[in-house]
Amino acid sequence: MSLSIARLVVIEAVRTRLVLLALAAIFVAGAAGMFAGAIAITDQHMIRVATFAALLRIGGIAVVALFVISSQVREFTDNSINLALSRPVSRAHYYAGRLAGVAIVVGAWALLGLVLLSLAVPVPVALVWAASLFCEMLIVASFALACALALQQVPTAVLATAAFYLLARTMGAIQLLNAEPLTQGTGTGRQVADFAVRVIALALPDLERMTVSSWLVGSISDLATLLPLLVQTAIYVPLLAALGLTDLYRKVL
Amino acid sequence: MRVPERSWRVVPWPILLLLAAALGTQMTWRAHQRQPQAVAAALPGPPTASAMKVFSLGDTALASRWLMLWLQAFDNQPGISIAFRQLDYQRVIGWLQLALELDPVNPYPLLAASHLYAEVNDPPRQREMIEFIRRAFSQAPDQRWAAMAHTVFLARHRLQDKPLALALAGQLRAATDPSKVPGWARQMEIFVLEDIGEIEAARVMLGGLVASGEVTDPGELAFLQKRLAQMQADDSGNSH
Repeated sequence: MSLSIARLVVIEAVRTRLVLLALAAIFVAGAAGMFAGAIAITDQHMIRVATFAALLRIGGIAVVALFVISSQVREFTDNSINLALSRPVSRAHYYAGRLAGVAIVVGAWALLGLVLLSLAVPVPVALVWAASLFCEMLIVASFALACALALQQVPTAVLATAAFYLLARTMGAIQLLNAEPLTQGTGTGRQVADFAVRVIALALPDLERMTVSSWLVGSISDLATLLPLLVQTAIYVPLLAALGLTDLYRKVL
Repeated sequence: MRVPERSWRVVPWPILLLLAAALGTQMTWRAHQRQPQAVAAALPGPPTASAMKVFSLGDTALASRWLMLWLQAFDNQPGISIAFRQLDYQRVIGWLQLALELDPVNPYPLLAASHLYAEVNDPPRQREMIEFIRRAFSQAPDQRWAAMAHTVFLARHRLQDKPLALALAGQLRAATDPSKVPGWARQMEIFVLEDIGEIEAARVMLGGLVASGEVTDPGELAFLQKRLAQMQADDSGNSH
């Protein structure tokens, strides 16, 4: 039954013109890459590739997060979720199906990135980059799904997901700023802030090390780069799924 | 409005177990990961003013000010402090020039040039910064006289270069309009020739700046007063 729900998610992605949106994102990323390459004096190829890849990543995350949130909120507003759960389907199976469908959509986007980048950089490099993109997008999409289930409103869920993504990508810099000796103090406020930064850093995934453009520029394709990212994804996606499921089970539907 | 929720008991225990285990694993994993390391990054070269106009979506006044905040904080990169003397001053000047190009009436670049970057204890760098201020002054003398006046002070008391101080004071007098610039600033040659002490000169300059209405921002006033107090403290420390 979970597979059927996953299939429905993929069908919805196709019918809501996500493919067209993906093509538009690729066109914009490609055009921006060409423009950046054209105005560069040197290193034109890598500037073009890095710009294209960065926009593909940001575009993919934004499009998939918006799709997941709007799709899940629609499940509530048109009562599709009630219809699905009125059949012999547990809430866990329903959630697993939704998550699997989202993972397929994310996988398709990463595959597209792999194919396009393979035209410009060695295949192993593109493979590591695309695998990392899959991990990053899956974490963000899982968060978006859990948020949409909990908040049931598109604007708040989008804001929460954007805040999560920005915080996770900048947490390293925030930790370093927090460790800055010039701002160190002994007051209670400072200690509370220090504790909060430490706890938030532990609870957030390390997105800062994911899908880095320097891999493309420096031709990095070793497994040692990818392995920690796979482990992080393997930990964080189940964590978000457990959070989402806990909320789903407590909902009165 | 509070949304009704079912009891925690309806959540199957394997899901709660998964939640606890995943949260514990996440925290352990992140705690054992390599902590972010502070790395001193070299100051990059500035982009062109037209590129900055595009990036700032045409809001050049805001871009000029944010650029100054970024440049000012560059010596304090996250987790690391860099001495001014380690900065590439030609690049610093490039950024200051860019901030001025984006907003010619922004006083920040010349204040930073005269009171921060030119105060470094390194004569070649001080001369580079004085030369930058002198060039900027020649483009708009009646608006940028305060920074130029400070270069006279720097040349006389920091570099101990009397001819340079006289040349700068002469340029200040010749290029400015008497109706727009206070008399004391146009007669800075007196400061140089009469050998007024450093603290006294700084005090007269600060008083003159406040009286002329050139310094109205409370933050800038506090900054200049703090520098004067620091100068006095250094002086009394040296005399003991």
